[in-house]
Amino acid sequence: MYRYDDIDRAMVADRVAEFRRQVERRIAGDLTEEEFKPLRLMNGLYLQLHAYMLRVAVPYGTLNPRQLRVLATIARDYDKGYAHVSTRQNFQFNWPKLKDVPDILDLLAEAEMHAIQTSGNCIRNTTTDPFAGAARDEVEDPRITCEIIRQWSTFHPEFTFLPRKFKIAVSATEHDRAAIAVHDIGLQIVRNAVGEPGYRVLVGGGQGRTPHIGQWIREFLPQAELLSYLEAILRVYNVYGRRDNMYKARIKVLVNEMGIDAFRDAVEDEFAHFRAMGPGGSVDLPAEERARIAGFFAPPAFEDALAFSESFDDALATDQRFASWVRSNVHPHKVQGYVSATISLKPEGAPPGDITDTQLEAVADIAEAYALSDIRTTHEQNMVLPHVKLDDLHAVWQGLDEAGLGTPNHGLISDIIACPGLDYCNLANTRSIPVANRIQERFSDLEHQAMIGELKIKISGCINACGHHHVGHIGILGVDKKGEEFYQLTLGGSADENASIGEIVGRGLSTDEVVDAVERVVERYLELRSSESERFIDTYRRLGADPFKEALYAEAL
Amino acid sequence: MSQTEATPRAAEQPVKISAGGVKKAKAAGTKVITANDLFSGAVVYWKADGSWTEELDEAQILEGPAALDALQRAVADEANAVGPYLMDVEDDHAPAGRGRLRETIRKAGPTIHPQFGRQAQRL
Ligand code: SF4
Repeated sequence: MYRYDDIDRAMVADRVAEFRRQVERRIAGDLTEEEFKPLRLMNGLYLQLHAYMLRVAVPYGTLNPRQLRVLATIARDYDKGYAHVSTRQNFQFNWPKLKDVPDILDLLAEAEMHAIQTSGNCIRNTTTDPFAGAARDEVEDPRITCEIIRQWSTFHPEFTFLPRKFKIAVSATEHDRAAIAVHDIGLQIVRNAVGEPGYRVLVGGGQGRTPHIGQWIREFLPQAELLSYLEAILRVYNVYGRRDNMYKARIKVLVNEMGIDAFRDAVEDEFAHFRAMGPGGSVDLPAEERARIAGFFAPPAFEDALAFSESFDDALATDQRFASWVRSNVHPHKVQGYVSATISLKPEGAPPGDITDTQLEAVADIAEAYALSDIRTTHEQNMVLPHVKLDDLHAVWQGLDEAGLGTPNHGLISDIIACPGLDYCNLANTRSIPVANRIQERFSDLEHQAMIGELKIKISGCINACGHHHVGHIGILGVDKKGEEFYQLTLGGSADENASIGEIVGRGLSTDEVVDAVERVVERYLELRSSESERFIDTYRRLGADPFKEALYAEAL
Repeated sequence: MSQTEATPRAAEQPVKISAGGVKKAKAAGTKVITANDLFSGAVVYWKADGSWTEELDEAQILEGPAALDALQRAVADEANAVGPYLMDVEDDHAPAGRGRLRETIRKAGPTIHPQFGRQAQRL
């Protein structure tokens, strides 16, 4: 992974020292809240319903055991014993005290972490495939691109006060696990006809109150021209993006108002200006610098392992729970004899994405012992051990299971994304987490879940859509009806390479109705699917919304 | 500019309830002033003596111009509280109106982590 150099270290240390003084001045009364609020937000510190919330950046979701242990220490010493994985692959702490935050930031800095640019109208954490560096079909490790973007966008003076926040995602495989189509900019790493790596570029995707699927703006961008092209897009957005109305300020609105062709022309004009400046005049990275950054993502020391493992086969035959976990949570690896394992943070009844201090330490220990010290967070609020030897897989699972992290439900109906909702969030209409928990309880039987197959439920407590409900196979949006919690269902959304925005089906459902409604949709799917391998989303696409609407409202009428 | 100068005829202004989806409300009915504690972020309520408490039951119940006057003083107390606003309550301090659920959760803590909320401290 990327390691800080002296400049990075000094920059982060200075920032912590600066924020420490700002906190002191706020407490001493030298800064008003109006003056202080933007400063704390620039350091990832929000004020939520019950407490401050600190959002820690996890660049492209990559962590090492030392960092996990620091997060565990913060959870234990400064919070209430747990942390939370967000849908931007970041970590959040829900209970820090204002005066402690500079000390927390010092601890983070020692482990090469910070909370900069996790809030505000700037370029946020660039997200990617949690299997980066391990996925069989990836063109190259997408984290090289993410790290280049991180360095370019951190403290970029021109992009510190954009019209709104700006999110970039990178995928290096055909199957998109990074939801690039619902990002302000989505980059797919591809090869051109002569085998050179570069990017297909999407622009103008996003969720929120006006969801859009991104549109292709460039079919092939040479690798070396990445930053000047991104800079051109950001410049066009910065100049023409709406600043008068925050609901129309995202780039998706600009792209749709201008039309993709006019937007592309404006970007190409700006891009041509950069290109005309030639090497040294453009913002692009020199090849040696790219190579230096790529060096941080060189493959770890994989052993020569056999594709076949006797101990793995024995465990599979004798340990039924392990076998279930392997079926849902284990993913093929590009190196023979290795796999990637998803650690579900969705055990029944717990808030999706929460992990305790002791669990963080358990993951750190397991990663060190068996997984080449590499850990990832996912935008689906889980974690991943990307490199596990097949021989070690049973031991890994036993360790995870002992820590309460062995739930075999990745990609299944109980693996729900849920935003914090009204249990924490200041902007919420309704709660999200209790709905997720009630659905998990209803579909408690893991065999039944496996029989249903891949089904992605995503829940947001308001139209801001942090719970990605627009791209849920079944999406659930909380709405406020005269002070009561109601839930609007959407069907047929998807965040992968065939991205789609879910269709709103019918009226809002009361808290009492919503879980029954989800169950009826699932039952109808089971009746309608053409085979056990036809996933919910495939059946929905084949038949459309009507049969599901019928099922939804038949009994509820 | 002080808060007093910003709203010279506060009693005639609609009071802004700045969060919880309720954008504006007249100062009709019984109210309590609530905010977050500057240091801990905890939910706090305004008491009759001008200090803050974490116990809703101890909050001063206010109405009409008195509520608005007190809100101005609360807003001016930047050294202790962040973002004061008026919330609707019944006569017995129970949260009421459109913000009822939100204020009930603010009072008790997250419904999904009962062990971490304020209710836990009372057990
Ligand atoms: S979707 Fe709404 S309720 Fe959920 S976290 Fe985002 S802003 Fe809060």
